[in-house]
Amino acid sequence: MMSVSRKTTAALTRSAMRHILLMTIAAFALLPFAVMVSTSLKPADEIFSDSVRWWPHKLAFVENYNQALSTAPLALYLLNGVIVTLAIFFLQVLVSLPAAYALAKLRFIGRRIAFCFVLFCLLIPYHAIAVPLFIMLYFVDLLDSYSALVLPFTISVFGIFLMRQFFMGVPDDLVDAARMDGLSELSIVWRVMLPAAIPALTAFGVFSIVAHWNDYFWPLIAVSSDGYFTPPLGVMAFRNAEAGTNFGPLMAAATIIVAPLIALFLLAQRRFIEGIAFTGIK
Amino acid sequence: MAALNIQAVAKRFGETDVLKRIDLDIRDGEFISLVGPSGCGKSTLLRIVAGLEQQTEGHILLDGRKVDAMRPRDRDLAMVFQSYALYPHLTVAENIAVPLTMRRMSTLQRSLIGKIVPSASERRREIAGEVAKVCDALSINALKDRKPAALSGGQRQRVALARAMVRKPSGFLMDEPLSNLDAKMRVQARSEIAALHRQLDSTFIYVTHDQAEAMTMSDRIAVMIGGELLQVDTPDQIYQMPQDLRVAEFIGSPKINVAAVTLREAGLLSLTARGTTNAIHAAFRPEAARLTAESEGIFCGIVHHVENLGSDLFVQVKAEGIVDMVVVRTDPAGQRPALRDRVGVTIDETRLHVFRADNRRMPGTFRLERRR
Repeated sequence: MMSVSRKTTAALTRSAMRHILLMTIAAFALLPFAVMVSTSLKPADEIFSDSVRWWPHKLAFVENYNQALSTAPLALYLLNGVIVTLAIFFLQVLVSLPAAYALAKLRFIGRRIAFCFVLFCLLIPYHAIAVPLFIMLYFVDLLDSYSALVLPFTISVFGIFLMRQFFMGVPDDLVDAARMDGLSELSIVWRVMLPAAIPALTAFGVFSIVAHWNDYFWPLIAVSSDGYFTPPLGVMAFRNAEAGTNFGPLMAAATIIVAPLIALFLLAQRRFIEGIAFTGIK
Repeated sequence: MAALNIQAVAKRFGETDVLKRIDLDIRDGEFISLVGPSGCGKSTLLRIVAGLEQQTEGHILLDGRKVDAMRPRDRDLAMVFQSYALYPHLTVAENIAVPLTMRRMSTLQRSLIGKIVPSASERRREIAGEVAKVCDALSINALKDRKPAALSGGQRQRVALARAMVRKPSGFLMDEPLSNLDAKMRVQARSEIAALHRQLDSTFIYVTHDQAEAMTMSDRIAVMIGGELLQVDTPDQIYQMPQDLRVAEFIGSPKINVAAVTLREAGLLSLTARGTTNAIHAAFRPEAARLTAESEGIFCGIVHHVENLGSDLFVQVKAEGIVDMVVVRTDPAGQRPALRDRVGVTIDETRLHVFRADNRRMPGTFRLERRR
């Protein structure tokens, strides 16, 4: 009895230590967010006080958020963000699923070379090709439009690579069965592979949407009229205010902008874990 | 219903010959098994018939029509896969309906807005009716709304069969459909598939590596080894009149006994040690041999092991210098030899098979010389 209880105590201590360590790391990661939310609640004079204080004396929630929503057309920027990220993700899926299917399941001459190109393209940072992209968009007269924000990202080599790896694990029999049942190659992609790939697609979706929602670099280059501003560009409107940066509303705007991402992540998280296992076919 | 002709079909992957000019005529409504060890090319042949793989040479004829250039969906054949290959995201009923929806409904009717397209719902009802009929026939009605992941192996196998049956194809191709089942289920499924064949009266091509499946279900068996078709015959003929030593060795359990012999004079054979190349071989089934007193046998040996199956008793006899091991079937009710007994073995010479050095059968009647 003694030894059993001692063992469980030891195990508990060890697990507690582990959790304390993990929570410390998590706390550090979350600290900037906490500061952001806290600042968004403070009136201007409290932001620069020398004592650290998480909850303000005088809550300025209404003022800051009101100002955030009224100074800049934040709703429009959010809408732009939704349009652009969803359009990018939709087109990425439209391109990468058939490409990944071909690379994983079809036999054709040059397949290995094509896949090598995909791997090679993974190595190119997109900042490196920003200038050529800009020039090309200039020549087709598409700068300063939704197309300028969306088009450069429609072919995602990362998406192709990720989905190809996932499709490799889908049994060949399933593809052959679909062929016998009368599905064309394209229907196989959309009716068999896509439903099977939902977990991988969710993961890719989160990567893609977070990356493009938060992207500051490309929208800054590609668009100039604020009707096309995406949320990160919108936040900068607060920095350029003539009376110096107004941190309360700026942080309020930043909080509003990250909120949809957090909501999306929480929704997708359950999908990640769920997954559709291939138990039905093996 | 369809007759199928396979004419000089060859398949090469690079340098390796997977299939060496296979000729096979399958009659309408026939149940034929392609049987052979793994890697003999039987699955490749089936996939070529299905249209999933392209042959290097030769032709496939369905009811006299060449179908070499036809896509799988146009050949009107259905296939049951070893892994069942059910769509994991669809329910059982939806899985079974796929072959019908893909053939009878237009792209527009199948699409998301299909519900409002005229005649789509009528078509859907008609398909649901046919699915229900097939589910009844295979008694899987209770499973209709489940996903494949929630089914047992035997249930998945029935769903896969139902999906193949639902559009009443002219032929069924089955690629080891029972090998993922446990032994008990397999015996049951064997008789179910045979019954299904009688009821549907359609052509079945059944690929298996299990000679027992081939023997019990088929009208004819085609034995393939190393990309060659060695013999196509009824189960009885394959078992009793193997035309090739490899066929004799592949079919039958326990395995046929093989001994090297030399041909002395007209029909007189004498046993020699196996292993000499270019030798003639004599083979006999365990039931064609009989244990005798030491002095009366054609040769003698020592009882090495006794296997009791309840219905049969298989006695393994080690006969030095002649054959490494001979299996003799005896009646468990009779006298049982003890281990390490010296016994004689006689062989029913009418059931003796003799094969030339190139493995082909040597015609004629033979006698075995007694060995002292």
